[in-house]
Amino acid sequence: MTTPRTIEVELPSSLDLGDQDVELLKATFQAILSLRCESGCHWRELMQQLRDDGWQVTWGLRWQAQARRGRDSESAGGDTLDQAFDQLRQLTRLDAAPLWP
Amino acid sequence: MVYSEAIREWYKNELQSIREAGLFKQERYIHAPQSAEIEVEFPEGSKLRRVINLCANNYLGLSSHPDVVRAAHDGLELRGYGMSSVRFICGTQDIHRELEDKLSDFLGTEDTLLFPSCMDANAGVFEAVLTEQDVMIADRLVHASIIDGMRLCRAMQDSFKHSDMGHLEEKLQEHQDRRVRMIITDGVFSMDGDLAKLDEIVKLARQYDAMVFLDDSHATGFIGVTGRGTHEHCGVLGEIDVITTTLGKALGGASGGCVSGRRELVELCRQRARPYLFSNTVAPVIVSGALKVLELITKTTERRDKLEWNTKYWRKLLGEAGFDVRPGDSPIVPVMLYNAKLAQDIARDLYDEGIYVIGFFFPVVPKGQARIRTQLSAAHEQAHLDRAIRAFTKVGKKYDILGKGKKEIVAMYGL
Repeated sequence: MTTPRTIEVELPSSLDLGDQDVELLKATFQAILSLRCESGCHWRELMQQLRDDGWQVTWGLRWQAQARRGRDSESAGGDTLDQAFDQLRQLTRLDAAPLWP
Repeated sequence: MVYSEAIREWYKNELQSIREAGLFKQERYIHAPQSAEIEVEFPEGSKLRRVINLCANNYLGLSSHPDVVRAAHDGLELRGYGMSSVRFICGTQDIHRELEDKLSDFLGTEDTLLFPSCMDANAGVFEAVLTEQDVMIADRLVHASIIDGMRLCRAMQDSFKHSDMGHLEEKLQEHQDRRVRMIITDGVFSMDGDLAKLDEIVKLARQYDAMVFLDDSHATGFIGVTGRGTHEHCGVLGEIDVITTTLGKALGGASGGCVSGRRELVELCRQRARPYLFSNTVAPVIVSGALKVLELITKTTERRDKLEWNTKYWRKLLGEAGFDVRPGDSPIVPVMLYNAKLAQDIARDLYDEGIYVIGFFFPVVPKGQARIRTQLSAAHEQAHLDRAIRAFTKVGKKYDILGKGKKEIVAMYGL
């Protein structure tokens, strides 16, 4: 098994990074990598098919939050982390709904 | 072979985990029509036991009423057994439309659409009338079928703390940018038997330009002075935008449900609600029975009044005997026991005494809120309730819980 390759980037010492900044940098870098590593252009073909079928298609990067507990699993997306987590909280509340008839 | 031993084993383990979680549901076979007294085979293969039924949703005692049974027979003779079609192809009879009109009259709404069940009505209604520009704001204790319906809908989901009007107002303020705000609530909440504060909800809806959705399954036919439902009880008849309810409880107890309310919303359900579009509707025999039920309960409030009397009498008996009872006005009367094992033991002992009740405990109710849920019916006579309280008192004495509140019961049995 090959060791995963990682790269380290030195950040300017003057830069004051919060947790959210670090998450944002990681997510951005992962998105660039997935675009770079994507083999072929299958998605372009699919997008064109959807447009041919009359769909107006847009795409972009969003935050995705997931929560798992036993058999329950929820995931929610949003343009901001607040949006994603607000929605995730609501979805997990739905799981907490009463079980009686 | 697709269903391999490994797959079988996996499913067996799933069932075992349901048992271990205390969620395994076991059916008890009833060898009689649904009524105040029934003959039950439990456990399977055992001798039949005649018991007083305190756990049915047969609120008006109409499940086996002779006039309703006769009307069902007539329906069978005159309109046949099945429709073999969805509504919009060739599955609608004159009596389906007649029942919808009569339900609208009864509920005080503009139009009504029948569904195979209220579960189906709730599963289909939100997706049919709301879009991603809208928001659903639901009480956190609404019925599971509403939750499923909300999940199938693209509108934003939000919730407010149970019956907390301050929290609901905050949510309405927060969502002023949405095209439609729909407040979603049950009329009577099925485990505690408490009623929604519909008058306050309607006031907030007016103030913040919101619609109101009400599932009145545990109220239609008996809550309110003429039994119209929670909206009648709270003085807001005609002000609820969407009502869903069932024919499977007070209104004869067979099956079927409906969406009733603003004409355009009901029409949108007719055009878009998938459980309506893709399944057969209520069978003619049930429609005929339900029409008779509406005739009976519109003619007189006798049964609804008797249910109210029974409820007050039963609450009084339980209180005087020293049981810890959740207060309220509905015929759902929870006897609080807090401890799960205690609730199971008492339900079992009551069954041995000829009283059929069910103990509910975590995870069906929140931890530390185990109880026995008793439900009254107009089919109960005073003698039934007198017999039932004697059994309750005998069992209550055995466990030494009479006259004790939560603190003392928890001190004796733990949570």
